[in-house]
Amino acid sequence: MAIRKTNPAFLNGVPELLLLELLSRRPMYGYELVQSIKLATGGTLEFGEGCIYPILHRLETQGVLAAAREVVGGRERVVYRVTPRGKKQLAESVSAWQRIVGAVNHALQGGERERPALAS
Amino acid sequence: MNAQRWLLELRTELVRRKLPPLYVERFVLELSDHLSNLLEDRMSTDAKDLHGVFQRLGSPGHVAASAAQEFRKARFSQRHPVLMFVVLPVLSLPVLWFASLTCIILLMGALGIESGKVDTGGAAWQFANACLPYTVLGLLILPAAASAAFFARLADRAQVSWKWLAAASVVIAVLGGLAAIDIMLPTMHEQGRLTLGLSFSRSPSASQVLQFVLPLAICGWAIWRQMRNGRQMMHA
Repeated sequence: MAIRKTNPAFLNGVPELLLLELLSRRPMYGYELVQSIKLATGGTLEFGEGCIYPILHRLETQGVLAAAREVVGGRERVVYRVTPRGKKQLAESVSAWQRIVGAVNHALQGGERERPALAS
Repeated sequence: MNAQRWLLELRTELVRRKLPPLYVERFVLELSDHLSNLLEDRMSTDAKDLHGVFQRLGSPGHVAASAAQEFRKARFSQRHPVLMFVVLPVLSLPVLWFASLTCIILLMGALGIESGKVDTGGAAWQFANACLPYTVLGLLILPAAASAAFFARLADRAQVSWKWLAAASVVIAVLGGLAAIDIMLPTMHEQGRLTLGLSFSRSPSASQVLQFVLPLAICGWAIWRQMRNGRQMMHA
């Protein structure tokens, strides 16, 4: 998923995390997933919608997602769901994300000043 | 720009980036569905801004670039096709030949056919001697066939271009076609002999033709199947 210029470059890996999280709640097809991302992030994160599919395909190739053709709303669509391997990866990614957010927040709130200087 | 033109441009961009036909068809199919949803939403909200719909999707070039980048990220064989489909087939055959020959030597040992203590009148020796031509033929053909089947499966799973599988099949066919194995069982007076090498003949034997043709046939069938699946997906 290409992140538009409105989103900073340090969001690498975030689209994958969001996709896995949303698909772990229920299986969805591409368009549905894009709408869910908008709803879930309150429109803060904007993605080029066409670029969501390459990421879904890669995650499928890696065995993190499974795709199947199903009839949804009277039309045949490719529906994605998280595999057991994907659930494991999601748990690891969420844990890593929380550690990073915690560490960055700590630094932004002046955490460095509380620690002794490592080098003079 | 209209939807058809956007999809056509996307297809052209995907093909230009040398993505496999099967993947291109699937990608265009999903994007076509996505585009239909966007246009339906636009009609239901009375929005007139068609340009905004395409802006939300991204330009065909940008979407295709993203597809190519993600596609090649996925598998080692996609990132290093020369290594996987040219170098590895060269290495795979000698490994398979040595493994097969080791199995034969161990089997002979288990049957008691070893140099220095051979009873050529024994049932085991007679049986082994009768099976020898078929064993040699199997040793020449099976590793090449197994190797071709392995690379056909690998190419299918990685969805690499058919040209890489064709390259692998040619490498296997040439190496397999040139292979020659000679086995002579030990007797009371002579030690056994086992020779493995490559030999070229202007008038190849039926076995050598088979060694050459079989890997090509296996890979050719896999390529045909890949293309047929691509066409079926396109008509779906």
